[in-house]
Amino acid sequence: MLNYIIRRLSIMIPEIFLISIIAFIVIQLPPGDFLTTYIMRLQASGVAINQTIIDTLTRQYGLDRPIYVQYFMWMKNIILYGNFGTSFTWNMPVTEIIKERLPMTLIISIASLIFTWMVAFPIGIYSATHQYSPFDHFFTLLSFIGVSMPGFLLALVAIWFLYKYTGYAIIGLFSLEFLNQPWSFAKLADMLKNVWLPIIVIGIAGIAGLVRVIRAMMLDEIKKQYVTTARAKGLPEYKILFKYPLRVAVNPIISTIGWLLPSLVSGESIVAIVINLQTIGPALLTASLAQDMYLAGSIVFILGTLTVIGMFISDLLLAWLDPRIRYGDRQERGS
Amino acid sequence: MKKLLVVSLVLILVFSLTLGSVSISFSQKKYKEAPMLAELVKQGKLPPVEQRLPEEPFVVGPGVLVDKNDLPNWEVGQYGGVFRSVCLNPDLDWNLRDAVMENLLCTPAFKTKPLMGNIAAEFKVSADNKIFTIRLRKGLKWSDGVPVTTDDVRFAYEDVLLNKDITPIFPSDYRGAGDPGGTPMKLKIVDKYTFRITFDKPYGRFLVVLGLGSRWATYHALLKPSHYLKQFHTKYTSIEKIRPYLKEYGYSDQEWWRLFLIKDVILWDICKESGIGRPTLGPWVRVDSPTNVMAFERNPYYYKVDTEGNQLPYVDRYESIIVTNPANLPMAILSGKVNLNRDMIDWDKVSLYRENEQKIGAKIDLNLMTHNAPIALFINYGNPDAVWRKVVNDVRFRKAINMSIDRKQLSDILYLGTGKPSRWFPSDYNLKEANRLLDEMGMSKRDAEGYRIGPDGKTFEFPIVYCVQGGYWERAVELLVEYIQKTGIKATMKMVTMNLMGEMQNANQIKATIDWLDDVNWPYIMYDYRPLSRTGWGSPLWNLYYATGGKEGEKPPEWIADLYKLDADARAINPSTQRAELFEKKFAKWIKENIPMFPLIGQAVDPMIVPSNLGNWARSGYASAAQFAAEQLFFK
Repeated sequence: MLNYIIRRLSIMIPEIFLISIIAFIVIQLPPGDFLTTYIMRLQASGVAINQTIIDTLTRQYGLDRPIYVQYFMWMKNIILYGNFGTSFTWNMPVTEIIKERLPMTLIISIASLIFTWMVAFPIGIYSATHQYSPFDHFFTLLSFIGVSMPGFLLALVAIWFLYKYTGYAIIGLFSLEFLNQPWSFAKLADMLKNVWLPIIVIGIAGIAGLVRVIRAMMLDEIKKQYVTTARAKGLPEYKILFKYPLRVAVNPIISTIGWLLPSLVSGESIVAIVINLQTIGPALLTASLAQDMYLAGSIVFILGTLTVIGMFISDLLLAWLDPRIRYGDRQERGS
Repeated sequence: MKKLLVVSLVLILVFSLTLGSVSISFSQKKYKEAPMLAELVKQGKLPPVEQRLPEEPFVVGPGVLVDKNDLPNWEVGQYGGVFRSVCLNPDLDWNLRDAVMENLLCTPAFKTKPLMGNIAAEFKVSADNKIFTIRLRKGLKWSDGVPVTTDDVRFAYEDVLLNKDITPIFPSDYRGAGDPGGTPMKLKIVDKYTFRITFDKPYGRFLVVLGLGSRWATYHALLKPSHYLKQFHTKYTSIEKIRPYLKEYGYSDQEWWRLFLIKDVILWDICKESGIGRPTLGPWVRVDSPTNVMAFERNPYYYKVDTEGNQLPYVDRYESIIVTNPANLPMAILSGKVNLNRDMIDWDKVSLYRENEQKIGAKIDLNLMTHNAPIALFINYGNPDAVWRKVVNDVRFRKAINMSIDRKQLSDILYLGTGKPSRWFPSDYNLKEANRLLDEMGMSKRDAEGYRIGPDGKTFEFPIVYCVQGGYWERAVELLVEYIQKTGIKATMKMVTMNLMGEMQNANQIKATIDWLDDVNWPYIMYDYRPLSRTGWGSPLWNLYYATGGKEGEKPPEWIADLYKLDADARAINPSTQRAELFEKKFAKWIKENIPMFPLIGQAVDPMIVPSNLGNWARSGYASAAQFAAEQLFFK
């Protein structure tokens, strides 16, 4: 096991290095750079731009240096000082921007994750144990709708319905009067008034998929002979379900933890943009559009790193949870 | 030299006299302040208002910030309230920026006259337009309470403009005659409040740089809060003390000037978070706020008062909510989170907002006009394609294009019929004449599809490449293509991203495009019309030619060289004099004869959201001008 962990860890370092290069290059792929957009935006707002201003800006943003120099400076600061650079758009260190947005992002992602699991597990198990019952059909239909409906559309429709019938407009997480207030119970209550919509909308797509997975896995398992044996032995029904088949059924969920981690940080960006949440997803979008390369590159880099770490964790969990999984030792690979 | 000495002595005498009289007349007056500031004074956190205001505050009354014609019922306002705007950029709301801008000089609502001191108490221009003497208001203070003196001017000039690290290229605005190759200005500090700028060549247009007629000139280049900025400047602070800040931004010791440029928040950066804590002179200052809000709060040291001695601004705060997606705008507005905004109200949403004024809690104002022709069609006369050049440089072609545009219909479709024709460009619609001109040019032959054939025997194409910067731009291009096709010219359209657009422009690949056009409301400013100065037309090679004095780049065709020449001559003269009007006529003639660009309309109504009980709000004129004078607005 220890060997396995060390081997997995040593693969991660070149992986992360490659991700950092790709992240930096991808941001630069579209034509132009931050300044081309920035200057056009300034012109549109009425500022007279001349060559002096353009040259000064190019130098100020360090865009006059070759791209590999920019990359090495960026990497050097990350490794030596944990500094991800300065965002062009905000004139602020990238770490501060992410720090400001991270708590709200985590609250929403974790809440919607818990919501997903709390709803999906009971429904999935119920559907499997009561296969082809009216409720199973009902939930199946619902979950197919949930899978096929894009989250942002659901969010838009929900916002519209809410506005039309209650006159309450959800735009962001806080009402106007609380925006500038420090945290208090009233502010928390105000947030709860708004936060359920993103949680449900983000959750629903996940629920639908998860229900299908759990249902299918459970159906596979409960038909197996060990279940029949357990039942013949006279074990209570709940114990039969939860002790054995369910443990196997969670395997596919555990193996996707690798994607879970990055999605906690920037899950469902489109929904967040539609509901105007100040989370990391929309920041990534704005930064990419403006070619704010240190901000966008850093977020992509962090997400990539989180995926790598997530995959590592899910491998470990699977190995620990399911004794049937082997560590892929050398003899086997040789054959 | 002697003459100069005499002139300056006389000036000083005049200044000191006026200063004496003004300070007497105001010293008996008691000033009043906003309740929130009075509270701070009571707690001992702020000095009393008399000590915060300069000895001679700027007095706002009828016709001072906005013309009497546009705002006949100016009244003394009352304190309180919050203005709220909305924006799509995370770092800039034009509404806020325009509201907090201050210039050294000003005129009512962007007109050319009367020119008066704003931040400056007084100014004097020598008869040859070479020497500009400016006196600051005695006792004027930065928003943190530190006095503004000519030391701030000296710092801005010596340590910023002349510092090769911070300013590698001395800006052309501050060179003799505004010429990129001209000699940089000279600064002389006369006393604590008076300074003198000298150019080697006549440069009357420098008044525009100081603030006349241009909202965006601002004081920043000549006046900086030196006490604040010195802590980031290696001349005044050792690098060891600056290093912690550098580390925070990931800069090396040699890059201290990058930190300085971030801390020296200039005009378009004013909404960014780096603006928090930087002393300014505007009516509101940037304060800390949540990530999705940009907030400004009243500046306790603001130097303007109303006729009854109430310190301005009347309104406590001005904030803007950032939305990520244009689709969120209607929801943000309908939910009542916006009460003062220009630019974010699309024409196709106006009726929706009007119907819901009750819910919004503010009204949609359709009385004020845009300060420029919203958009225009531009042709690049310097594109490398030889056939293209030959055709578009023929004035008959441009006349034909201009006559093919049905501006009445354009105005009806795009601006609900509120568009007014341009004062400067011919705007008759005459398809027959357009076709005749094109035939006369020798383009009478048609291809199989009925499109005109160019001089090279191939179908002549007129490709409009553009990026969308406003809600109706795509629609506008569709209409233009339709109009031009009626003359038999094969017009096409292609939308690209802003980035690609910029790249294509730099590579001189654009043939025709649409872009904003600052119309000739400031007619003496031909500068704005010069290719690539503010509008997106012409070849970058001409700019290079112009900037290098003809050493590099490419010489523009004769008729465009005329414009460069006209502009160079006009820059020498004072824009508020009779001579400027002469140049205005010359420029109008040049436009009529050459038709270099094709504005869709002259002006249109600029739809705005304003509080339904807003006081001192103009009933006519430019929307941006009314908003620029936000310090006199109040809630009734």
